[in-house]
Amino acid sequence: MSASTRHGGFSLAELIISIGFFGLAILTLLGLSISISRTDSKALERSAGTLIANQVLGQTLAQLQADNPAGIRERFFAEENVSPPWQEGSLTNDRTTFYYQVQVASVSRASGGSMGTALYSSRLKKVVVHVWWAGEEEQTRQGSGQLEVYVTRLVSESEIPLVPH
Amino acid sequence: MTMRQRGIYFVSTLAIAVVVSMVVTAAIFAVRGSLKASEHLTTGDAAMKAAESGLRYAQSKLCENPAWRGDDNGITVQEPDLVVEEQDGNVVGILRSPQGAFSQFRIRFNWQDGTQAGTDGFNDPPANFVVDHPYVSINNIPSGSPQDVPRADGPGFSVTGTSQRPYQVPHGSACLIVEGRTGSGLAALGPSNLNPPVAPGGVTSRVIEVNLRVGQQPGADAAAMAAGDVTGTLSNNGSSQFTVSSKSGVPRVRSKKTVEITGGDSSANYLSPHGEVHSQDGQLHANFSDVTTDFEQDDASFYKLEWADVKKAVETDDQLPAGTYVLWDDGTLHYYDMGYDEYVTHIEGSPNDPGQIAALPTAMTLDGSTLTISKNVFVESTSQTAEFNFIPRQGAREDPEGAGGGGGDNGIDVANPESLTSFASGLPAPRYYNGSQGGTAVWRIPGQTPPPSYIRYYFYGNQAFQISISDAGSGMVDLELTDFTEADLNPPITGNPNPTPSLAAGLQIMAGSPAHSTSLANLLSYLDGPGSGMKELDLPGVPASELDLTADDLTVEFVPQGGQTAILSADGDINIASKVQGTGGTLTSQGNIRFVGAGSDLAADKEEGLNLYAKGDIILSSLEPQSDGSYNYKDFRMKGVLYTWGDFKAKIGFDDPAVNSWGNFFLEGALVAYGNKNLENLAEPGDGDGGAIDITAGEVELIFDAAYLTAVSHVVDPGRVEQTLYTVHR
Repeated sequence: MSASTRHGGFSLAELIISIGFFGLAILTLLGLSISISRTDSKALERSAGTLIANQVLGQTLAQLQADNPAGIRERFFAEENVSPPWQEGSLTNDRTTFYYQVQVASVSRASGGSMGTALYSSRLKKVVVHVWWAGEEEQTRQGSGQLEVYVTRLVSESEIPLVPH
Repeated sequence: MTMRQRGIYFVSTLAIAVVVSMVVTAAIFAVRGSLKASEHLTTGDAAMKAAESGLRYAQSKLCENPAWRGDDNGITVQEPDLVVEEQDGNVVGILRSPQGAFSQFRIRFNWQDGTQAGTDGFNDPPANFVVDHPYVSINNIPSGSPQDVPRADGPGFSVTGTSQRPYQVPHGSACLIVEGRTGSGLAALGPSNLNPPVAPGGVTSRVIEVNLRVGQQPGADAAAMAAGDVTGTLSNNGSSQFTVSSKSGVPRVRSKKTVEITGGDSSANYLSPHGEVHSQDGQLHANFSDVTTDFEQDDASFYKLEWADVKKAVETDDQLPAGTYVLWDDGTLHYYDMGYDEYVTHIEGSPNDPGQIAALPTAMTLDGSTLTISKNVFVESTSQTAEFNFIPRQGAREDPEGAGGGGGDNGIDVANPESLTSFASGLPAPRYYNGSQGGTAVWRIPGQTPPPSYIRYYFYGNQAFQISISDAGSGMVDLELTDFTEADLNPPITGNPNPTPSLAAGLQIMAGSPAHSTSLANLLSYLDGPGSGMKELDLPGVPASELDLTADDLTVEFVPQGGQTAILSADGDINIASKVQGTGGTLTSQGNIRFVGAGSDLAADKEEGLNLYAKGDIILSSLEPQSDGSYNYKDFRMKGVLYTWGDFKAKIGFDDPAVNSWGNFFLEGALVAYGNKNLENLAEPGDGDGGAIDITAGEVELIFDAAYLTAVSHVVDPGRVEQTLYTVHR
């Protein structure tokens, strides 16, 4: 092979090394892209999960206000509903299914007993809304970590306006 | 490959690398922004939920205790995921998410304006409970007037005199401003560290403000509130006025019945610029201008102060045996273990009985004719009486001769014919029989027996009719009316199945005859019953030189020492025939309180607020008999709260030629006639007996001053508090 011929291309070694580097770069970019995509998706889903938790909480309070079905308000403030929960279900948002569970527990005084009485409409409940979307039975997804949010808030009996039936 | 070709490859490779780097960087930034937006949403939501939780905690507390201001000092909730602590008006709580993150809420009622309890009523909180935001909450539920909501814009987030007060919270409402926080800057949050300083790392904060209102609104503040009629009778000198003003808010008078002012300035006898009068008929029966009248709501509350909540002298304070303490002219104080009425009966029968020389507790000293009270004194009931009476030996006259209305049991007033008719018609059925001429009717009624001799017989005209009283035994007397001619009584007794109108007619005929006014006054005074009114005593055999001391010479003075209180408390009536003066004094009684004879100048301590508190009536009379038989009235000046479960009656003038001058009535604070006399505990205003405010004086001046209402405030029953306003500050 003449010297002029060798000037027209790459040696095999150069080619292999180049392809190797190129492949590595592509794979890195691909991995990064997937990671970015997952993170972005998780952030969006987390935002959506928070909004859905608030939506569930709002629906719960609206039910209490309307006392529909009848007696639900009294049951909410009189009973403990942690396990089984007060409410559970799912909502779909942009092809993602969000599962939720609402737990309701009385707030206890440090000195003993529950805070508030029905007599004064002063009962106080701690409401925890748990929303997850990795799967119905799982809160984590490989590579995405925990896909769940909790929203916790106290609910007082007096904040639910009495609406005449 | 030429050098040019190599250069192109190199440049192309660099260009591609740069483009790829830019894309990757852009993607990373985009994701970072998305993550931040997501985090902002979730942390902001967590802060908001923390603030909401604090708000709902406070709402629950207010339902149970409408006067709550974060002052249940200590940890009130301690759960694994929720801890709340209150200290001196500041409330801090933390919530832990099941994922482990803490968020916090904070409410401050404390103005953080000094270690002494200032205008917020709190000392400063401990250093670890200082709240470093300017949003101060105000509980104005137990109040009858709007209140400023200040911003803590002073040093160290304190409220100062010049702090902004951008708006007010209505009475009956609480303005709650709750801050919720979360973020890595609060990483030190934990059950043992509820309020750590903010560390680097950022904190997300949300502040919400709500107004919460009780369902049962407290009644509006008022200088005077009465379950019965409010009656003012002014002297007819043409310039007297009934003045009502306020040191804060609208000057107001409230009555569950009517408000009527008579006499005085014919063009404006009720003066209260921009004032209000609330009454059952929505009217003010007076001459006035620039006063708004309105209907008093039946269920509007009054200031409510139960006997159990009154700060009073107790058994562990200095004790004084109940009874009647009589100051003789020689300066000795004589004690009689009996109530006032029993003492009057006893001493008029045994005028020279010296009783016992009184032994006073250390809290009381007698210097000449001044009885000084320097600490709390509890009047210990004896087997005979629960009263405390302090009088001069000759007693003291509460009303001028012929005034009637001496506080008797039957409410007879000689100047008021209607009361005579009312008394007669209220008598039990008479034992009635006809005579040959005219007729006779006899009513058997309870009465002091035997009747004093000087009221055995009364005649009118030429024995046209006769009224007599005779002893029927067992505490009963016979009131007998004999009509001799049937000429004067209309209707006549004869043939009348109901002769009580005949008796009323006879009494009214006598009332219209000046020649018989004294006889009638004595008769009516007897018929009115002993009541608890005070009078000059009939002490035959006691030299006049030993009866010079009058109520005007005596003084009861309150001089609390060393920051202590000077409260005189009795389970029975308190009757004082002397001047009553001093600052920081309070009298409390489960019966009536009666000041007779010399007026007063008594100011309550502003922290205590209470001046007079009686489960019965409060009666004030400043009549000062003169040596020529005429009368003067002295002034009453009171500062503080006058609180009676029954009636309030101030007799500081009387429309009679024998009265030379009327006194004035001045009150700075508030006057309450609750109308619950004879009830065990306070119910709604007017549910029991009494409740009238009746002031007869030259001038009347009522100045509402909320500063005296710290102890006496609206007491709002626990119950639902509802949200009327909701706003998010940030």
